[in-house]
Amino acid sequence: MDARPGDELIGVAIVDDDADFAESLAALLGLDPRLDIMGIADSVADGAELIGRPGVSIALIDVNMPDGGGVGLVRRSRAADRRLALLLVSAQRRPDDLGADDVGFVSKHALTAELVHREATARGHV
Amino acid sequence: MYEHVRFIVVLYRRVAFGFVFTPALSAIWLESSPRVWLYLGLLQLAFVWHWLTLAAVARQFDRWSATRVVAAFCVAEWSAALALSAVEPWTLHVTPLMSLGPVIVAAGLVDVGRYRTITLGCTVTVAAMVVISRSLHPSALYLASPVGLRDVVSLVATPLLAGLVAYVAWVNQRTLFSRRSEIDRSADRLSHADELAQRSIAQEFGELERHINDTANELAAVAATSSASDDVTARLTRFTKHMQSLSVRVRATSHRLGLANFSLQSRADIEATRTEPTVVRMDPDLGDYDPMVEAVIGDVLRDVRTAPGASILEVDLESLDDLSIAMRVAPVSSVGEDALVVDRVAAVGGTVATDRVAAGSVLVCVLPRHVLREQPLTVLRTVRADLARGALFPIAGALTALTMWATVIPESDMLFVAGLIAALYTAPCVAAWWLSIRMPLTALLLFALSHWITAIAVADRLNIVKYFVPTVLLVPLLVMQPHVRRRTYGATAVATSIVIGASLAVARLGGQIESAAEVSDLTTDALLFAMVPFATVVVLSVSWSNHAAMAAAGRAAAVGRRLVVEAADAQRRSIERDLHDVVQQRLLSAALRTTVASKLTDLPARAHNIDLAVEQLRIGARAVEAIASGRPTLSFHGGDLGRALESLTTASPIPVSLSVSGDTSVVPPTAARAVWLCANEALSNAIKHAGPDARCEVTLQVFETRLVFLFRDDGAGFTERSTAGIGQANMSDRIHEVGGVLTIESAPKDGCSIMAHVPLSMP
Repeated sequence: MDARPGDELIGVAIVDDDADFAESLAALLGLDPRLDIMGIADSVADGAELIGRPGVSIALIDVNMPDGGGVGLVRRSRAADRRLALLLVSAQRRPDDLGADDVGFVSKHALTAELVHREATARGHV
Repeated sequence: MYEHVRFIVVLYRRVAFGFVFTPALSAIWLESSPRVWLYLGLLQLAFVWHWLTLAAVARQFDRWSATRVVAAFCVAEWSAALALSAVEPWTLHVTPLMSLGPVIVAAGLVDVGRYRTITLGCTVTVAAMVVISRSLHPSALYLASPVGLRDVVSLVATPLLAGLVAYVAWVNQRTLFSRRSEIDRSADRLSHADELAQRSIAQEFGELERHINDTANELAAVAATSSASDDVTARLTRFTKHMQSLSVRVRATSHRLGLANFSLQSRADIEATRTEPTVVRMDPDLGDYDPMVEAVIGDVLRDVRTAPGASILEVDLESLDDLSIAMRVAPVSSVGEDALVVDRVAAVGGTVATDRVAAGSVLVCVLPRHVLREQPLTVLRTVRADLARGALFPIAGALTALTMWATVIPESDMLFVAGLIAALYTAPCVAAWWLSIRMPLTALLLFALSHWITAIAVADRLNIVKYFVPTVLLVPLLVMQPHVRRRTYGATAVATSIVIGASLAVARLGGQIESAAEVSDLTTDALLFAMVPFATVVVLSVSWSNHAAMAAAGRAAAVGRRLVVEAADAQRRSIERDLHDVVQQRLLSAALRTTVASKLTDLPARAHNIDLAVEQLRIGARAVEAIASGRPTLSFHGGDLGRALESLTTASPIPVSLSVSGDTSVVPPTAARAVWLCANEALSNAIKHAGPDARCEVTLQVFETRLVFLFRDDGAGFTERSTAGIGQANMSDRIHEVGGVLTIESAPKDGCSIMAHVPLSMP
């Protein structure tokens, strides 16, 4: 998909403690010219810092991480910035304790650049 | 040593001490004469000897072996009894009971073969007492008491009672032994089931590993022959889809094998994953519960679902004091009756019941929220069986008594007495038999009442009966003793006192036939009245040690089963974690890389991505192989702690040195499981916290009566106990439960040292 003039680059942050997976995902998403990989974080603490950077429009957060996991990070980030699009990803099914948080859930099997772009546009305010 | 033995020895000593003063007190109202002084002096010597020997036994109680204590007690009692009878034949009222003391002490304490010796010794002593007494004093030294039925009663009743006590003790012991074996067998069955599960995991994942490796090979071939053609792109896209579906398959397999974490909170986990809809009703707030309880519910659901042909129509999960899950299954499901399922549920303190309904069955599983540390004490045997056993003795005794009466007292109204006994005794016994299933304790009470009422009523007919009454009173007690708790001993003693008092009073006031040969004196009555409650408590104490032993066996069983369930769950959870964290992630990463490769036109970049994908697949395959074969099994079915520790150390990612000394095959299964789980916990803590350069040292020393397990690592160490928190508490609990002691020492930069001392015999 070619970038159309006037489209802003969508800043993507990836938070996943599995380095191989995060890099592979970054490689895939990086192929799409509309997406700009802002960085990869491998822990909840680094992830919170990464998401807080200016220019990040969407964060892809792994559910299964130590120190509270993806859900914990979502709650912290949600509290900070309601305009951010957040997507929880997991190889397993959607966790039951997401409740009413305004966060999307995507299976890792279904991650594509197209989907990320769509979610960022729909949820965030690009 | 059994508590009842200590209790009896101390009780006898105290009573003996009381008797030490009686000759001196008697001197007050007896006439002063050399003959009386000689008599009192000899009595005093006999009593003092009795007391001193008993005091010696009590003092050495903890140091001597069981056989020695019994032998010493026999010597003390029988020698004192002989001495007393030699001095005063009147004491033949008392001395048979003294000679019974050792039999009761021996009950449950020595080998069955020795019971015969003790019973024989008892009988011989009583016979010797009668012979010595009568030959030394053809007419009594002080209290006139010619040879009479009393002597015959002693000679007959004492060995009968001794035999009965020995028999009852033998039955108690056998029951205890078979219960213990049954408990051990169920723990072994659980281990065996886990072993079978392990093998099926190995098989499934062996195939998966081969599949992943084949895929990696094919992908490598594509990299080698790559060109920029569309054909390659299409193939790569196919690879991507294939690996994504493999990842999904891994998840499905782990669900099917019961490896996946089951969550009670998750409706999706409760609902059946089949096409037929399942009605699910769940209490919205389940409260808190042990993860083990959750795992067991998951197991039961899985077993019901995977049983061939059955489907779950309704599931009802209720949260009350306990957690209850009810399933309606069609057609009939026999999972609830499966021994392994029942064992696993019982291991966490729950129950499972199946009811047949129209076109299916309802399975109800009730589990406590938190796993019980002790199983509730169950009654040793059915009351019905005991009543049946117990009824034999009074019948034999009654027949003997009737025969004796008929021969000795021909004028007696034997038929009437026989009829009275039949009516008063048989009717309550039959009622007791009928009630014994629904109201067992009431049945026992009725059984005892039948004896007591008969004793009182017949005493009215025949004065002589009062000498039989102690025997009659003791028989139902011996039958009842497994079912009587310590706190009711007092009440039972009071009840028997009332009965003997009543029968004595009735005999005195109403006794119609007095044999001229018998002297009815108050002292005899008083003695009978005092001896019976004493004898009651002594007899009942036989059950005391059984209750204690059963409680200990129950606790050990609970510990053993819980350890097996815990170990299996820990293993499953770690496999599931590896499957998710490693295998699925690798497959998905590989899929991402092949997608990237398929979109690239630059050949070197494409080849690079394909190589990365292949590498991911290889890592994944290795992880699957580790799951399939490398995991040490936790089966102790004939297993050996030494070998299990070896397999733990070889599979460990950080270097562990192991040294084992002594014979590990004598370690009992519960102790072995506890040490095994500690070793696992300690090692995984070391891997997580000790840092990359840590090295571990495991030492196991097996001695004759205990084992010593030592785990040391030279890693980072820790300051607060809270960092290792729950794991440490678990280790400590497990070792404590099998009667051992655990100490943990750690300091920052000084590593961590865990030592466990565990006794090798059951506490």
